[in-house]
Amino acid sequence: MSSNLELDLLAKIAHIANSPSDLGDRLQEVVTVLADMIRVEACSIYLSEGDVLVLKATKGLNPALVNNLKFKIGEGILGRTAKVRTFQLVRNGELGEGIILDPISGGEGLQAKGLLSVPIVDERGCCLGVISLHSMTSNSFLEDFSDDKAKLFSVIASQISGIIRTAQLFQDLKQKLYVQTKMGEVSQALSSAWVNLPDLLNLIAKTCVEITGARGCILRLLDPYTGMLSVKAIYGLQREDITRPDLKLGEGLAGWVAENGEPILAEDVSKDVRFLKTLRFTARSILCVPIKSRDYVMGTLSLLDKDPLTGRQSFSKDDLNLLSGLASHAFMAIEHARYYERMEELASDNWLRLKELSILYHINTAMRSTVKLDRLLKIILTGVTIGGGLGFNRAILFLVNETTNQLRGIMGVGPSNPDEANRIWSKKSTEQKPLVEMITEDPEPYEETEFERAAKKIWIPIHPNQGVLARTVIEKKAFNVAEDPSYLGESRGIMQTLGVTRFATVPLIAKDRVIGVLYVDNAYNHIPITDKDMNLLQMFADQAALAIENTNLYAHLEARNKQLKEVQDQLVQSEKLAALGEMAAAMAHEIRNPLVTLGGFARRLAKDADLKEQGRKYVEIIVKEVSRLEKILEDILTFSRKSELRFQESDVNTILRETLEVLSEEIAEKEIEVNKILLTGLHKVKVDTQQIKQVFINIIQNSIEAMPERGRLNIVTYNNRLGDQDGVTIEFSDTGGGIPPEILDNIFNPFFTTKDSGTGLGLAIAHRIIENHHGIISVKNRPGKGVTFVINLPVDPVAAT
Amino acid sequence: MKTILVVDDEKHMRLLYEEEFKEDGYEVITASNGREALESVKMRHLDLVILDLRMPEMDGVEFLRTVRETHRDLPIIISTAYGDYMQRDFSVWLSNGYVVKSSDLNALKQKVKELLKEA
Repeated sequence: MSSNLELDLLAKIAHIANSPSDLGDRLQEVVTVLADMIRVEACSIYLSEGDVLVLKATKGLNPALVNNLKFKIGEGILGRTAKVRTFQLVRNGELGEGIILDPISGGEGLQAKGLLSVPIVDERGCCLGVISLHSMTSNSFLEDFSDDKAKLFSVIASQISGIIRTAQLFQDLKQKLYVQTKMGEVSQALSSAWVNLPDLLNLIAKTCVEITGARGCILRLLDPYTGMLSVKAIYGLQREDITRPDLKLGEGLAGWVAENGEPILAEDVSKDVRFLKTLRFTARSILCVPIKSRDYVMGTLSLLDKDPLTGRQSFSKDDLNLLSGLASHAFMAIEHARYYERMEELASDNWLRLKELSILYHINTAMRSTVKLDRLLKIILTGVTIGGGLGFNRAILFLVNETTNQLRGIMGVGPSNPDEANRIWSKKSTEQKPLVEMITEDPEPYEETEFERAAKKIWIPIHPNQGVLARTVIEKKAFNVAEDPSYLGESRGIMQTLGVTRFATVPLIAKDRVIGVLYVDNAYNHIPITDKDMNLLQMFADQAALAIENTNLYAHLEARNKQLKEVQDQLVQSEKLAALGEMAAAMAHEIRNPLVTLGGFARRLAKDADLKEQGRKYVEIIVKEVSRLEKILEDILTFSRKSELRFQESDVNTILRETLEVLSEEIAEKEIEVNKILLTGLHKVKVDTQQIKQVFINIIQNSIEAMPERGRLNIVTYNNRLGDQDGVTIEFSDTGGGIPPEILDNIFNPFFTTKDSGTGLGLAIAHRIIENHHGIISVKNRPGKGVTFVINLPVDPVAAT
Repeated sequence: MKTILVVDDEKHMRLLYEEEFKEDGYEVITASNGREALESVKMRHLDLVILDLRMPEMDGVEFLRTVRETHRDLPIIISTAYGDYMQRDFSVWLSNGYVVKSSDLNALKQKVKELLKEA
């Protein structure tokens, strides 16, 4: 070859080297130029990929072989060339050592006459590929291969190496630029204000695949509660392809990565003991990195199988770094998104709580507006059922009746059927009054719904086998029957009566006592009753119970006051009457004396024989009139003295025994020892039995109160004389320690009492009664020991006048 | 002849009783209060006393208590305008009887007869 030819060749190749076309085209141009100018049958360029040489450009061989014809590095001439990086030359069919693979067919044996194989080496000494020229016939170029020619080919080879290198660098640059762009997109998405976690995860998975060229990406996140690594996002495959969406820590490659916080680059997973088949298809190579911060691992990013179309099967270190970078971005973004979600949750929670408290506050305000029980119950039930309140469909309030041990329905609020419900709700929702007003306003007089009527008819014995309502009272806890169907069996009665299968009950507890039950249901809109609802209901029920208790106390106070006032009025009245009576009596007594003398002398006059007819008549009239006056006086005195006394012959001993019977409990309570010495053959006395009994009761009660426990009460009866007639005496002696003299003097005075209770009147009343019977009552002190009451009764009080 | 002492603070009452009992054949002495009555008792023998309760200076009850210390068996009838026992006192038991004043003196007279018969 002439030096012109050589220069020409070099020039052409240099020209190709500088052209902007892509690598494949340029290599093709090179082989064409070489084949033409050296006049060989075929010129081919092979590039090394991994451990094989792949045909990339040829002039002379079948073009279909490009990218498909491969030789292992180290085998055959070409392989050896790549391996040892020296020229290989075959002339005239002389084969060197080792196997020669035919560059055309790829089989053993060489068909060419001459073959030149030149290594393409880069500046670092790596073999990038091989140029091969071969001719079928004798070729002068190959035959006369000299050092010059060798040098020439070295230069050509280094040119081609340059081409390849720059092409590679250019490709790398393009790739890096692409990655940067993609990362930029991801960063922007990650830092945008609107954060939707699932979309974010999908974006991350997609980006991974795009920047690495992998077949698919699986993003898993670790659930802190269950400890499972679960698939959260995928790209490049389907959900159905994943057979194991949840892995335990340590299971499989992803599990290992999550547990150890270190990435895995597995080129052939079948060779890795940690591998667990989690996919329907078989992956060949997997790259898995942890999504983590310095402190903890949040999840894993796995890439499967580099895209076979790009020609590279396994992941590289660069891919690992890229992915790790993306993973740390992902970590921040996911953390951020989670915080945001949590914030929203808390805010919503807070708002709900505020709303609940607000409702309770308003209902409470409404409850405090009244002390009347029925009004309060209405308010409570309205608060529970009204839309702006707790919002249940229907409610019934039951109160415990302790005497009968029953739970009685006192009041219900709620519509009877869905139509009614809708009507009421649509009406109420158009009114925009504040909650308190709506609850407390007096309803226009309206017809009770059937439900409300039925509620008042419900009564349930408080016994453990009587169903949920009774159990609410006994066990002092709430029941949510919708949530736990095991209660259904016990609640059949209620279910039938009210027509529901889901309802809730809460106890109304005031001062640790269950005073009633609040029943609620959502019979029309069927909204389930949640735990939160139950909590709110219980809080409300506690308030309601206190309010009800208050009204009860208030009612008691009112009743007591009324009672006291009545008694007071009566007392005042009777004292007034007594005073009046006394005044009348005093007056009557004053009048009596003059009447006696008047009448007496008139009678004397009537006895005078000298009196004429007319005079006699006049005198008789005077006598009659005086008698009349005396009768009137007598009546006045009788009236003021006696009040509905019915005298009948009675046995005082019997009355005493009856009295002790009546007081047996009080006596037993204080363990008082009662000794009776009752005379047999006691005179019968004409008395008003009830009143005398009252006297005995009052005296004995007085003694019981004065005595400590295990005191002694002696009762003695005997016959006696009172004035000019027979009578009986009853003595009561106690061991109450005696009474100081200043009190003793006033002991029968109704307005003098040392006790705070009303029994100070007892003795005063006793005194009055005995007076009415024309008897005598007195008290003797036995200082240090006790007192003795002595009652004397005439046999016939009427005769005693 | 039996002697009756009439004790009453009212003059007309004393007069009426005096006239009535004199007519029945009794000797009648009067006193206007308890103290006077005691003096009479001391001074002479009496067969019976008709005693009013409400009197000034010394009332009937006090007279009764005092006189009983010395004259246990002296018959004494209480004759009073007060229809019921206003005395919160055992002392009325010290009398031999009780009669409410009336313009018709028969009941009193009957009582007097009874007591004097026994005596």
